[in-house]
Amino acid sequence: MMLPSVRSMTSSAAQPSGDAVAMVEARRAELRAAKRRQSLLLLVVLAVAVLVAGHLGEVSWQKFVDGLPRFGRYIMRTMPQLSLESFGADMSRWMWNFRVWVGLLVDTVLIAFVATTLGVAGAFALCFAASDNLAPNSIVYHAARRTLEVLRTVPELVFALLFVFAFGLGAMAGVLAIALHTMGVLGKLFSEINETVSDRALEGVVAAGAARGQVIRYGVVPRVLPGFISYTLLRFEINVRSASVIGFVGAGGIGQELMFVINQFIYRDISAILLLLIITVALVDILSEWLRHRIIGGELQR
Amino acid sequence: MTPPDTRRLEDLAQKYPGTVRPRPLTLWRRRTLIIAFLIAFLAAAQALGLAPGAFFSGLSDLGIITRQMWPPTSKGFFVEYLHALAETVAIAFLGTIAASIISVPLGFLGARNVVRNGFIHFGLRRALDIVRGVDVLIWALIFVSVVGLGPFAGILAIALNDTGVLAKLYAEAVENADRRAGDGVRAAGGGQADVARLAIWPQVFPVFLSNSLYFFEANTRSATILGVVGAGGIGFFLADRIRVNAWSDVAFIILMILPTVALIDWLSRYLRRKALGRAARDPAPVAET
Amino acid sequence: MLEIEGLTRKFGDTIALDAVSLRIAPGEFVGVIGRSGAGKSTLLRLINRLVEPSAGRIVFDGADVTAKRGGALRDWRRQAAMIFQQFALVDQLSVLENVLVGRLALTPRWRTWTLQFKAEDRALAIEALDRLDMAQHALKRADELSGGQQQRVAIARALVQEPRLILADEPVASLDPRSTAAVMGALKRINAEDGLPVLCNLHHIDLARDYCTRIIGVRRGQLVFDGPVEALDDAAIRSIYDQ
Repeated sequence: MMLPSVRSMTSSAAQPSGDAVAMVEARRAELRAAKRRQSLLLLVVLAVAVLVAGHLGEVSWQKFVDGLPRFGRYIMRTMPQLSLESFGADMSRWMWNFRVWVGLLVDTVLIAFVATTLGVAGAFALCFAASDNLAPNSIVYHAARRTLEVLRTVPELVFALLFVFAFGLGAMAGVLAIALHTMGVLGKLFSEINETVSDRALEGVVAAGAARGQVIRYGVVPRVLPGFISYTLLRFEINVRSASVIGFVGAGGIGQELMFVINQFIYRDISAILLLLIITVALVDILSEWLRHRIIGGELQR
Repeated sequence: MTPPDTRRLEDLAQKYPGTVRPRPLTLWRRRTLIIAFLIAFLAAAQALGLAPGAFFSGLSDLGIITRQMWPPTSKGFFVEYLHALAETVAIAFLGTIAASIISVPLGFLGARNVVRNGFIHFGLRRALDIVRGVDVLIWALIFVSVVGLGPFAGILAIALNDTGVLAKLYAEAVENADRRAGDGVRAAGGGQADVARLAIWPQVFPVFLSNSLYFFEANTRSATILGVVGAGGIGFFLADRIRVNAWSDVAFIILMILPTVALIDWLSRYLRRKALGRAARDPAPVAET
Repeated sequence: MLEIEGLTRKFGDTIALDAVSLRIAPGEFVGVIGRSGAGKSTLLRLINRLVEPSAGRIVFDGADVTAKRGGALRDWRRQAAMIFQQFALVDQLSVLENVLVGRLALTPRWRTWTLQFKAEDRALAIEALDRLDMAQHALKRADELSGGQQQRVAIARALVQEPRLILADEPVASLDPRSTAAVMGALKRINAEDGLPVLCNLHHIDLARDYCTRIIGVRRGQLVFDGPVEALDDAAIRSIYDQ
């Protein structure tokens, strides 16, 4: 059986006006050319951007080729010598400072915990004023928004640098730095959740004669709390990672020790601390995941 | 309705237990949780040596710093600052591009529906977890020891750290891709590579692009501090000016960082919207720093 | 006695309610009928002050309601208890807590933050639920209930507000026939037993005939019919529904 070719089918279908096919084809070619030009332009822009950025970033092929094997050697040097026969002894030699390191890691997690708590309190206090549907007036709204924006944009480490000067070396500076940044980030996220609560959903509470604070407590908080908790736990996970580096500027936690061993090229210690850090981060992630499921799935939603 | 008298109240409490007076259990479970949390908080603060006295005396120092920040001045370093800011954006840009390119093959390799070998899948995912579990600043410090001071170390640090996150997100995007398109290609006689190229790629490309743009935005923020460990960018000047207590210079630099970050945010959001259409939503805010 | 004089509301160029004047005496059960978009809902929302009037006055027992601000406004809202088509409950709160929302305006604000109410308030809420045959559901989450049950919870919330007037905005439009009977019956009973005036928007003329003592017809924002339910003949209906 012979099937008619695709071309003959289309042309027979378009028989009444043979020009239509040509017109469509021409238009199609035109569109494709335009699209191709656009893609080409985009590629050129991207290439130029990469070249300029490469120049600014002092990137060179030579550096890369030299650097890669050096990074490999670096990683190899940090690897501990472990053998099966003397595993226990090797392990204890590798983790010779285990107690101190674990103590510092506990500090790191505690810094993240205290800072997240303070940051959440601050974010909660400001997030309603920073929601366009709940703010009492536009002056308060904009003031709250701008405050959160600045807190969010200034990195923790910059706050930490300032605070180390004001509060001295130690965990206080780190806690405050992470707390302020957390307040900025969560305040914005919280206010976005608040804005998903429609005016209609609040009518029942408003029409009963509730004041603004009561409308928020009864109409908004029960609806947004699961979202708040979820974001808070995610932020806690991120803050543990942040708390591991604020020690670079002397603001507490494992960071200072880590910076010391990296700068002094004490290779075995680098891998030991990083391993312990990765385990800590993983444990915190698992705990936070478990809590999230428990709380969001459970009844603690008010 | 008038409030009930004592007898009616007791009758109701009898008839509907747990309503007029909450059951002790429900009442106390909540209170216990709150009290336990407060105790944990105070114990943690105690363990860290946080003292209210030190806090308040530090606040007055902070007040002095804030007063000395005004007016912000550049002291003739404006061009240097501008160059360092450009370097910061360049670090974020190149780091993101490098991570995006590396993450494409890794994303496909790490996706269960493309590579069915559980061993590869598991190994790759765990390696990515390790890379991700170490903060970008730690990587920067390590790369400074490997390739020396300068922005190149920063680029490598961001590229490596982002690969850990992006490859995972890419792999998830590939796994979530609609399977029927792949079946179509396979039915027409295509191999596994054809499925990846023809069926999955068009579906996941916008997701990849959107995630990468979002990371560019987040990386600009993190790149501002890489200079603190000598990995290039504006952070070097910032840390230096803080070290010598030149607070008005610090204020000037921060006031330069804020609009730059805002500009990159805006640009990334604009491009994301163009790439994904109006419905573009931010990826999970986990990535936000 | 609720007196409305020349009440008007404009949304941009459209006039939602055009100079409506009314008087409602204690004990009346007034049905408001008209096409959707005729301004029935706006009328009720204006009375509760969820919507601000563009012109006109609302007076209740000699006091000007339209001038109230702040605490006085909230107290008026408490007195003019509102019932909504979509119930307007908070899904995540328990039934009891939803009813207690009706006590917020009567409770010092600092007390309400922890969701703890005095035993008298809780007993009052339980009594209200009991009257509506809903007390056994008091500790359930609001979204576990059916639509008709949710609306009865909303009525209980209105009752504990110690209202002087009940405004029901299409209370049964989202309900099945059996729930409709339960909800309308409850409103009628409260109207009879407590002597509370009820102003009720309805889209079913049969319902209006069954439950109301007086009918108000609204067409394109204007009052076109006001009379006892017996006076609602076919001609009146045609004029209200623009046919």
